[in-house]
Amino acid sequence: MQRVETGLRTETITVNMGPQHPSTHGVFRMIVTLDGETIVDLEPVMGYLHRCQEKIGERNTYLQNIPYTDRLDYICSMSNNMAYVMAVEKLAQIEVPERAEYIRIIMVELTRIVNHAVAIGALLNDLGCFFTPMLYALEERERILDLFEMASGSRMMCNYMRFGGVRYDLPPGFMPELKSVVAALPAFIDEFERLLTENEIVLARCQNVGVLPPDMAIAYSCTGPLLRASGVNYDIRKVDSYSIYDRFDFDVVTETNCDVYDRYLVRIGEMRQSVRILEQALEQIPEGEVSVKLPRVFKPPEGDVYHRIESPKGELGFYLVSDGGTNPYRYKIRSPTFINLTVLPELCKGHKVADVVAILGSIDIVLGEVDR
Amino acid sequence: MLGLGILKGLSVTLQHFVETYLSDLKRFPHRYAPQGRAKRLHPTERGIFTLQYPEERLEMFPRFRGALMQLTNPETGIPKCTGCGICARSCPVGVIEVVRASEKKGGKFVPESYTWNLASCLFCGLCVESCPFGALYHTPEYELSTYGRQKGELIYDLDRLLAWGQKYAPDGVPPVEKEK
Repeated sequence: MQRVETGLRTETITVNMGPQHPSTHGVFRMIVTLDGETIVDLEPVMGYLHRCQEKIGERNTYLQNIPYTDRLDYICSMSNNMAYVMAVEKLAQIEVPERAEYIRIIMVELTRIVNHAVAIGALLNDLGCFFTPMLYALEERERILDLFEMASGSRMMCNYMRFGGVRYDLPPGFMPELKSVVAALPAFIDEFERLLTENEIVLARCQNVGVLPPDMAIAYSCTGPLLRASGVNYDIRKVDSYSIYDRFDFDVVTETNCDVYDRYLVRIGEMRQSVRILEQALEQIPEGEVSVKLPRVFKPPEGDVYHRIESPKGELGFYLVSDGGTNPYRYKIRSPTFINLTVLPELCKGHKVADVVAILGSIDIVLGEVDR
Repeated sequence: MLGLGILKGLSVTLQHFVETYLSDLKRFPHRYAPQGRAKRLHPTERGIFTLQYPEERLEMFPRFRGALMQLTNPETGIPKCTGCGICARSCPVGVIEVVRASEKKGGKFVPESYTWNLASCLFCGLCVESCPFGALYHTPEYELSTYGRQKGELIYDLDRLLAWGQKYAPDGVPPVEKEK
């Protein structure tokens, strides 16, 4: 390459970021071609955490797959559970009791708050604001994880949902605890916003970085906060409503500037909407059964099914083919972060090296789900 | 004004800093004592809520999925397990191995050997869920690291599982069943 203006001969250099790099959120490698500090090309390399999840899914029975879905996106195991369980329910046409639906919504919305708080904390970590926002996020997450542990027995690998309901009813003492956590959440989000939203350093690092135009976002099948920050009003809870989301009053948060900062704003907005859903669910939750009785050897009928939900990171779908036996013939996971990640080279071109970590943080990947 | 946002943010961190010491002062004699714990973990409480781990421990919730235990029937003193192997078949990773004894004991089947391989256990709880005799449950035990992986360390046999059953459910009723 010849620099015309100076007449100096320069070359691009190739830098490996990762797989052991603190900003890559796990084992993920980016082969970055640089011209000085500017990125000419970027190639994501995935697969370091591949563990044959889909093949294991074919070996396991339908029930045995639930603990494996916990380990896809280990930050939001409850929503992974829900997506898989709802796919199987659609296949076997199982009716879910009213109370179980409400419990599921409560758990999934709590998961969304946990995920967005951690995503923002990790983004700020990547930007160099070491651990202050992250620890404030973790403090709130800790209280929510306590609720998960109380209900399901485990903090992160919840394994709580079952076909036709949930594993157990809510324990005594859960509801008052949940109410006090939900009541404290708006104050936490306000404080988070006071800390970050108008901060000039955050603005300087995030605004006009990693701009993803709406048509490109749609062309790359991006979903979740990434797509909504590009101004596309697309939320599966609204456009293809599942479970009982049509009973709740909430808005889809969209922003129009398509950059890293707007993805942050969308996440903050979604946390507020989740609190709204939680408040309504707390008022409406009925008494009653939480699961239906299924035969010990569960065999859904022959057929195939695809079910998708709006997981905190985007569209999470499960495609199952059943041959009428005890285990799926094919078990395919459409994971949101894997598909969102394919747009990374486009976002990074023309930016500086330091912006790559900000853009990657704003996509909010979890490698357990990317590589499966 | 440039820098106002940063100052606003710094006021939040300062507030947290002060609150931590104020809430320490409020519970003055008990900073690290177990009495302070319930209050410190309460959602409305501000400040840091670090648990001083080796000195004070969290009490686990009744549903907590820790190590496994085998229950004994308190009346007869015979293990409730019949060695049917449903738990072994329900396990997604196959960490349980059961052999049923050829002779009955006290009119019921009993296991001859029962091994649980902690090393590759998922702690998913499907074995406990599937047990039709209510013999297998979780303990609140979570400090399970060992220095080796042979039998008696990471591989648990029936005697060790029964001993835990005696410790956590001497009356044959585990904590999770007493919840209500």
